[in-house]
Amino acid sequence: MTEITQHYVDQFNAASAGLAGRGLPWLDDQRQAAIELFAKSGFPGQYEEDWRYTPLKPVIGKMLHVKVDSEIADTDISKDLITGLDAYRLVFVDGRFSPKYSDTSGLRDSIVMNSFEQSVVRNPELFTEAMRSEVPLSHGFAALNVAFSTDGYVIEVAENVKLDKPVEIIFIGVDSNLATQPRNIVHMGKSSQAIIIERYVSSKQTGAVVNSTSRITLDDSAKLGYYLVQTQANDASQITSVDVRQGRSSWFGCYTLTLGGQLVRNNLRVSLQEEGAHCDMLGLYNTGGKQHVDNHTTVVHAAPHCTSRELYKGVLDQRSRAVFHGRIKVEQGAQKTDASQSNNNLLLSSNAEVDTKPQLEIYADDVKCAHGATIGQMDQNSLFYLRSRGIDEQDARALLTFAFLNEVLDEIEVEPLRHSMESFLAERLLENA
Amino acid sequence: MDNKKLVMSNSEKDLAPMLQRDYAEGFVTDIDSETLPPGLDEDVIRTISEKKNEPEWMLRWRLEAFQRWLKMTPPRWAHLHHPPVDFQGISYYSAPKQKDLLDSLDEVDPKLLETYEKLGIPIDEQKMLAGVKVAVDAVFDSVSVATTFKQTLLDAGVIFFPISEALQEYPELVKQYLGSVVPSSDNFYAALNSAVFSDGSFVYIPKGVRCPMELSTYFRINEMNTGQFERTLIVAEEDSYVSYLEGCTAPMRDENQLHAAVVELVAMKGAEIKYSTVQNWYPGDENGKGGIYNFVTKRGACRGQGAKISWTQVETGSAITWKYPSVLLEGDDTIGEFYSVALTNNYQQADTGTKMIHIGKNSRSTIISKGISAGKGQNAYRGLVKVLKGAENARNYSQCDSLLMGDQCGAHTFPYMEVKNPSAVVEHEATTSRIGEDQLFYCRQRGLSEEDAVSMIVNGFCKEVFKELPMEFAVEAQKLLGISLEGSVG
Repeated sequence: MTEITQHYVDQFNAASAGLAGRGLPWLDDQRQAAIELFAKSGFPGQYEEDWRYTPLKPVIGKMLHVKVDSEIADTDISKDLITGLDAYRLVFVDGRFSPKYSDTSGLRDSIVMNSFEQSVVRNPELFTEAMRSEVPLSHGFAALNVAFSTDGYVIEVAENVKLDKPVEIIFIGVDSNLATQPRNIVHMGKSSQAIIIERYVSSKQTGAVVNSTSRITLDDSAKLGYYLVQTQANDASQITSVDVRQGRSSWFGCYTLTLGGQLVRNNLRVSLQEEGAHCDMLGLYNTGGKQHVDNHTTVVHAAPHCTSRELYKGVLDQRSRAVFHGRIKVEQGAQKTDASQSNNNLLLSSNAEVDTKPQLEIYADDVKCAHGATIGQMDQNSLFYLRSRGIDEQDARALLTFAFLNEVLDEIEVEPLRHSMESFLAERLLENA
Repeated sequence: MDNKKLVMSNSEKDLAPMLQRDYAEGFVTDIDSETLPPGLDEDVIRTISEKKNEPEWMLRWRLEAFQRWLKMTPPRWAHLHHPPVDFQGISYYSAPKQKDLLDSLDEVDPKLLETYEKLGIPIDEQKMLAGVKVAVDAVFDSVSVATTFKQTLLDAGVIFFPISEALQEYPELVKQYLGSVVPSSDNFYAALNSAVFSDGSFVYIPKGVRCPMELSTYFRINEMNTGQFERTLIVAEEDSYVSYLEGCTAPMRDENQLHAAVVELVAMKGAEIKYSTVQNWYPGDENGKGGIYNFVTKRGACRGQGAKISWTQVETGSAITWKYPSVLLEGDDTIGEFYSVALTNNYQQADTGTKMIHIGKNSRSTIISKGISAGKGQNAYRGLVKVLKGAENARNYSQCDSLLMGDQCGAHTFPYMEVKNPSAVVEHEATTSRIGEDQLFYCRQRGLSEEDAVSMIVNGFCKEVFKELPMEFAVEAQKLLGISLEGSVG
């Protein structure tokens, strides 16, 4: 066992007796299996195909402390709120639920919206079979998260219920050098509808690491818009593992917007398990400095007549680096699949780097699958055109970069969020141009 | 739907006899040969080297490669499934018995001549058609048995020798370039090949010479339990040009045989090498029994400004293909091309593609890959486009299309793009489709049989690649594709 693996195993052993929901057999079993797996496999390394482009030093190069106590630091969330966004709000400070900053007033009874810790302590009967299941422990990070399962959010929307407002979840980092392990669970009942905005912010430079997992299940005809907004400080890092299972005719829209963080790795796996399911996966990343963004996505078409669409666009400046791995897997028998995938990158600096791997794995013949990837620089002709119209170079560059990303921005359906992203990007692009 | 069922039942009836298609090249030549017992150790390598009467440095080079190989493990990352190869169960040298050195082709064993005649390969210079002049190096198991037009080519300054003879006649040239593109430490199979390679072709085109004819090598595996490990080295000096073709066949056998070749190309300033392959190793029977394991390392280096290397391959044979012909674009303004058609039927598996490494400024590369899967075949494209920091204005365009025939097969695309220079433009596109019922219906309505219609559609799908092949090869490739697909319509 390496030193860093031992470090986390020791912390687990020390904290294990006091972890939330101790005594629930299903949870105890999960924790035990996960920590054993983690102790055996440790963290992934660059010799592994799925991690070859991502040096994990910012995450595993330092001994961080896993916060297991429930003390909540004071902070100010007002500056992190999105103007004009009317939403139910759950706030997690350093990974722990903070009722003080949260607001779920007016919520209907048919909706469960709580923290993982409170749910397992107060209403363990809430956890149905579908909600107990964890994300697949396909790498050390997921195993470590499930072992600790400290806190996170739990949302269950009952059959035929449509949420009147989006749910905003804010994870704010306050204390330094913490490794938080939020475990999130979402279950959408038959024909239910909801929008979840999961945001990661920092109150200051913290050097913290968030290692989260999210298990999302959509029953037949359910609809979920899921926004992952990463605007944390540029010395904070994050590993997310999102696993989605979709029922018949359900829709899942996933929007991954990465603007902050030192090292961000997003593992997203969507499994279309029954006929007629559709998913849209959109991604946007704009990086500078020494940021490293790695989006690792997999769509599994396990049933016939499902459709999926994936579009990731990124702009890279300075010494930043982006990695994209996209895999469409069409299983045998998944006829009439229609899947598309595309990754476009704009390199603004000679020190930036892009590594992209769009992949198709197809075991059925009556399918329509296409993928594409491009890496390029700003079109000099377009730049010249704008200059000739009297726009100065700085503005012209910002305008063209913005236009490049706008294809993804345009798809954001929550207006206040879109506006806030637009102004955030516009400001940054003008500054850097 | 009804319409489809009708088509299927008809085609199944019509195609029944064709399903048991013959692999025409699957015969065995009954010839006395000298074969080393199976197994690999330093003594085997010493024996091979001794038989070839090789210089001391060559033996040392082989032994070093062998030591490296012992420490390596077979690559596992490819999308291929096969039982582990027993490297001690293979004989590493087999040669037809012959008397001393041959002065002319008349002395070649008639049985060998007959074999090549049956395969349709012209190794009798007199019988060649005027106008279609192709120089041939025929490699039978571990040795080269005949090389035609050696003298004619020498007059033009071109060296076209079996590599074992080149080691005798031009040891310095071989020493200078051997392993300079594919070092023996490159990968597991390259290391194995470096240790035990027995023959292959050596081509040297001097400065400013345009090779007067097409050069070609035909590889034939005949003996049981042997592996073939040939090595090809082509060096094109400044402003020269050569077009080289390679073809391969083997008898039908129930066990799997190993073929692990290494091909190295060196193109100097302004030189151009065009390398075409029609690979038709025995693919195994319809139940996936037997067939060749084709684990090949091919790489070319564009060493000088404006050099160009173009790979064209038609892969229809082999039980398993593991092959990535690559180009190192070292010089400025260099060009790399890769055109590929890979077909897998029955239980065949292919993991093939290319690597384009952009190092020089304004280097350009084009990748066109067409994969066809039928039966239970698995076909994967795996390619890397890497643009290093200094490769200003590098340009790549990749296109990978897959055609699926049947619901049991698989088509996979695994492109890798690594770009470290902002002025580079790299594009990748891939599509997957199948032969549309409307397309078939249209052809049938015009009086074409279903087989012909499929063959026509598939040929249309591969046209972009076939047009890159030399004419004689293009005709052969089209025929081969037709045969390999027989019985797979459904």
